[in-house]
Amino acid sequence: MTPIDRPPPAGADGDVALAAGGDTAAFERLYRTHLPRIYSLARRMAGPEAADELVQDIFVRAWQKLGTFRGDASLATWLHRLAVNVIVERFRTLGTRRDRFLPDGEAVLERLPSSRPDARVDLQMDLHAAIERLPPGARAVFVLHDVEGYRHHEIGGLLGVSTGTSKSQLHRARMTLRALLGRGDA
Amino acid sequence: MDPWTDRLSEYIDNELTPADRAACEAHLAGCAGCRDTVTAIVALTAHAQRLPDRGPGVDLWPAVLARLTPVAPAATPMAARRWSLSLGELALAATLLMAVSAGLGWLAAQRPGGGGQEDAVIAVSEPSTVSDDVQLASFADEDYDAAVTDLELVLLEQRDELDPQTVRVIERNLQTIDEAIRQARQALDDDPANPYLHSYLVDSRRRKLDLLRRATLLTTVSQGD
Repeated sequence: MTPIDRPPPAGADGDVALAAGGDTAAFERLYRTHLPRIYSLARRMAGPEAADELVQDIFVRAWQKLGTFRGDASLATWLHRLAVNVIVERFRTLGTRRDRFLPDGEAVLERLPSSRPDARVDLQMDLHAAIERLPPGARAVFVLHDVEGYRHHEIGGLLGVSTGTSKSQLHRARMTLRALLGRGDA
Repeated sequence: MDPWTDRLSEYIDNELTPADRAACEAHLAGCAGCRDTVTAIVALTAHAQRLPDRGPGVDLWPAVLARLTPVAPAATPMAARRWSLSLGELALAATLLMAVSAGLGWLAAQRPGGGGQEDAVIAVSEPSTVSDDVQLASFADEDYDAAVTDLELVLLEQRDELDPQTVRVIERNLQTIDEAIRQARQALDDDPANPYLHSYLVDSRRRKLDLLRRATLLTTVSQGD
């Protein structure tokens, strides 16, 4: 099971219908239910600087498109896919579609401080910070594959790169993260 | 360079052909460095799948809400038949409420023992509403009363077609306007020649009619869809 298959909360169907009809209160309930999931996705893929604005764009798009949601998948899955599309559009808008997928992780390693500022920092926090230090392309592939559960051919389709590029970027991301975290057990 | 180093992720993700997988495993049996790498990546990916979700540090909902535009009826197959005022209409209703409330404040200030905020209220309401060419209010305007009654009936019958928030906004505004009309009439009993009171009463009645028309138009649109 991938993380996007989480079951919808009780009462969500009613709120979907109400929100699709223009009920902003119902839409706010949906927003607050799914916000942590969507915000985390946006932040991991695009970084903290862009996450707030992306989240707004994603939920505005969801409001506009909610009428097309027919319940074939869970709302969480539908919203997640929509969010990925909005984020990828942003990558394209910023000209990061192909050229930003080429840089490798070694450049990031060179910019890192020589020692960790606080060895007692929680490992999960370390992984969050390390993901944000990855180059955009490697970061997007790692988040989509290892965090969100997408397959390489899906990632290739979303990001406009070959399956081979997706695989190589994933491996670079993993190796870079291993080095960033300072030890092999993450 | 180790030929398998760059393919260890494919091995872990089970994306190698059977022949390549067998060759990779043979290599791993004799390469401690690659075994360490495999162990580390497996732990990393397991860790990544358990990352907790976190929300933003600030409340983004107001910014989202400000960007929501009315939903197009044709694009709402799952939607309940509910209609709401647009943000612009809600803003208009809020402005209307402010104008009527300011007038109510002025009326309150004219009564003996009126509240202490009359200076501020008059500053808002008087310059825009007092006119030398004032229209005298008619209390026996049968056409007006009939129109209001008809619209109120339509609104009552179609109330369930409207979004609850919209209903609340409409009802709150109607209550405020009705109160303004009631107080204006009461004040005119004491001061029948007061031009401001006449102007204010006419304006309040017109506002009520406008609001009812807007509300019933929403329900008419929903029926026609």
